[in-house]
Amino acid sequence: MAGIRLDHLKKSFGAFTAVQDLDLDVTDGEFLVLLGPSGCGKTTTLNCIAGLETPSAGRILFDGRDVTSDPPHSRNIAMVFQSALLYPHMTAAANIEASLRRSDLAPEERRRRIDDAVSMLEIGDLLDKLPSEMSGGQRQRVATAKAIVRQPTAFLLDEPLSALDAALRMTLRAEIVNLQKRLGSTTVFVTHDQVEAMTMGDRIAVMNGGRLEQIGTPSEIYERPRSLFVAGFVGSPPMNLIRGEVADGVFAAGELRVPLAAAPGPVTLGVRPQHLHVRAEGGLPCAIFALERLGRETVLIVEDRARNRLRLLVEAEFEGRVGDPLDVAPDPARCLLFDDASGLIHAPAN
Amino acid sequence: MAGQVTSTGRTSELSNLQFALLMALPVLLFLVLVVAYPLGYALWMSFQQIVFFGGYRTNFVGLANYATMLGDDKFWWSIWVTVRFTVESVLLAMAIGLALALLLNRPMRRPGLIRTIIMLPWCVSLYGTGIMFSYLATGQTGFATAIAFFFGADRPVSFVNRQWVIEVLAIGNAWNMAPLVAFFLLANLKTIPTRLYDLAAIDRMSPLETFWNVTLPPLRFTLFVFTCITTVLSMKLFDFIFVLSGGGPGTASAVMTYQIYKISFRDLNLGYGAAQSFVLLFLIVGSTMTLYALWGRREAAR
Amino acid sequence: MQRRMTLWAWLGIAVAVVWTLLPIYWFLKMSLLTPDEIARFPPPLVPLDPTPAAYFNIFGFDYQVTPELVRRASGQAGQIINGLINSLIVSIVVTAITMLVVVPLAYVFARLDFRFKQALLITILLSVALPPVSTLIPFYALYVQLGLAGTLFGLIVVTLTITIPFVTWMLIGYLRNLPPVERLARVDGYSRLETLVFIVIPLARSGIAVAAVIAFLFAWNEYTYALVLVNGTPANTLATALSGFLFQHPEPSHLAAALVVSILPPVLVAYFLQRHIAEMNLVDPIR
Repeated sequence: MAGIRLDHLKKSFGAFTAVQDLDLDVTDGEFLVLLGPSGCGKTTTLNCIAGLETPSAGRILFDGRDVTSDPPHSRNIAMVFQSALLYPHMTAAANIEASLRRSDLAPEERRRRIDDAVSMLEIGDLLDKLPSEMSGGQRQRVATAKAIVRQPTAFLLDEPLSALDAALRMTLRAEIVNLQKRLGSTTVFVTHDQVEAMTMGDRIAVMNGGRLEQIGTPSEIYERPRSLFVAGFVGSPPMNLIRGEVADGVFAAGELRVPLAAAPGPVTLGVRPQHLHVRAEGGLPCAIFALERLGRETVLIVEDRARNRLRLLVEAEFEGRVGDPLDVAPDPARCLLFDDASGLIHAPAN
Repeated sequence: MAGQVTSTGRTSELSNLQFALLMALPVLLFLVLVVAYPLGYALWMSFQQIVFFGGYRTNFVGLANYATMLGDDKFWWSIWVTVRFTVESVLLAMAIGLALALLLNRPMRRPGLIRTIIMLPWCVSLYGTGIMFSYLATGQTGFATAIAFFFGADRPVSFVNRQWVIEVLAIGNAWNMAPLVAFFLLANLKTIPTRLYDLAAIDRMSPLETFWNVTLPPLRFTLFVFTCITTVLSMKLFDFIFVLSGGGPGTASAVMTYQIYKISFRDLNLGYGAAQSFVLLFLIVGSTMTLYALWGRREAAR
Repeated sequence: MQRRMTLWAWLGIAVAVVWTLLPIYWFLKMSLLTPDEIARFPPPLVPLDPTPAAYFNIFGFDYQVTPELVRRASGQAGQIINGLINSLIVSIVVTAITMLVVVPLAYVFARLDFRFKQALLITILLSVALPPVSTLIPFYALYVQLGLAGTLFGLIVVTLTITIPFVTWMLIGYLRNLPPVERLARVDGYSRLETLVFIVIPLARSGIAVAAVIAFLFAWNEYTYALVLVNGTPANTLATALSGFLFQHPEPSHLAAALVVSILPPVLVAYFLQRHIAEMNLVDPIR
């Protein structure tokens, strides 16, 4: 096991820069999620860590050792690819064994590791099957077994769950985290799904346009997003972002007024749906646009007179019909303010 | 920075270019040799007058061979015959190929057997096709004669004549090429979701509208590619015509390839033959580029 | 309505089958006719008294039709047998060399990015468009100088110039659609060459088999080069031996029988090809 450090990593393909000047530390035993929309450079970063891509500049260090120019297998990493890629013409057993072909382990040790992995992932009855004869979840388990037999320095996972259905994704999410904690192995997990990121990661690194936007624990990312991008990307339902202006200690946007102690100027107000409340009167006048009943709670989507939409979380029993008028108001103590250029400028103290 | 990375030295892996060169270079060299050499040699010959009788010798004549062409009626005739043959072959092959693909796309009993039969012509050699069609279309031995006599006629029906020989050639050529077109179109047809046909039925489209709006769009790029392929194959075709009609009757089917063969190997006028073969190459490349400019560019952008 | 549709479909299939088989049937019929049936005018639609005599004759055997009537072995039998053997040799050697050469070539074009790739790809596609008649004379001139005219070796080299570009083109389209196993292989520590040999080739075996069959067909069916380079020499192929029949008109049933023999291998591979040919993507490399 090892810590991974990216030092001024840069990767460009021709004129296109996929990753620019990325500094990142993954501590030993940590589960780090690389989160971002497609094309943000997260997979390229993972490929650089794996050695599948050579960085255009910068260094990659495993436990302080420079591995920037080492080929993948000598870095002793294990990788699970998108939709759990396996060799299509090999059985599960052959696929798992292929992981150890370059190791100089004794045959008994090999046998033992494979048996351990097989029993840990409960795939004993799949060993003679070809990937085409397995379900998506079974392939995922075999790919994971293939990864862990190597007892690698680091696990690298590239959107391994993206091709699976929602229920299976949820089961495997927990299984992967459980396995990672039991093995205590350094893990880098790439995803574009912020729910996956929030539920699985010890820390999340949010990337956008080849840059690192923010790195922190899930609650840090959620409570104090450092930029508008992170604020909008993390959280479901997403944070409400309202453009307006601060003057004389009051945020004003259209008919909305929120008392906030901040420096005057144009800003964007961010407020999570659970911190936006329905008022009898005195708030922002809106009409119900849609109701999404989730059982435990209801997402209320409203539209103000300027046709801006806002989301708020209300109790499951909330009564209302599309078109009903109501007033909404944010909890001033839970509002965030963002500047377009410098990001977060005001956050509630906690 | 970049220098620092490379200076640490890649341990054991080859770069893409290195591996590609290692794998491909010997082959590419061979291909360049056996393609570039004949082309270069032919180009040189096209500027020479080559004489065999009274001792082999060559005289540099510049563009004289090309100039001769301009006033050579047989040359212009062979271009016309080539164009007529190619256009007819391509239209027939594409139409028959599309029809076969649509047929094969229907559920049927014994699909493997039917598909094998439909595939057969592409596996038969072009000279074999030529021999078969010459016997099939000639009056003395032909199928049409047999049928006509069956219905009471008393004279042979022959299509290998000045009027119809090009059509016989085009039909035989299309017979040979259509299966290839059909099988690739069939692969495309299989990717059309059946839901689209349900949608067309709900929208009450006529069979023709359904064909135009549902079936055809995903085939268009493949149709373009195979129009190019069949055009190239028809223009460079030689053995089939040589066997079937031998350029005749008279010069009725003297396509450019046949003309070049005759000039070079019967008249032994190698320089003139080489010059004409460059015109043919130019026509082949030119017609595919024209097809691309007029049609393919639009399809590729889709 | 539904029933009429299927009726039309059946009619369509019937027309397609007749269209496809008629030329082949016409020759099969001719090969089974007796000499006086062939001489008869108009030509019969079906063989009234089918006899396999021609098939024996072309391989050099007499055939006893009745105690009094013997159909004599063809004078061309030697040519046919020699051509058959030569065709087999040329086709097998060409197929083997083509596959050896084309698989790595197509692989690097299909799966790797490198400089000059596009230009090289266009060169390959262009060499498919090269008409054989244009290159015939230079090859002939070269072969006469090198003493390769009338040799199987010379014919094999020329035939490779046809099979290599076309089969490469086919395989590029096929290999492009394989899953990205190279990345997996690199993590597992396979070298580039090992990846090709142990991963890609086994994975692509059905596509490679189709490519090999097509290379064989092209070599087996090649005529233009054979006509100029080996016709009338001991290195003649089945194709040239056959056309010898055509222009000398000895006995049509012999020609027909020899032609039927020559299309037997293609008929055998047609079943295999119809299942797999569409996996070979000819469209992808152009996009």
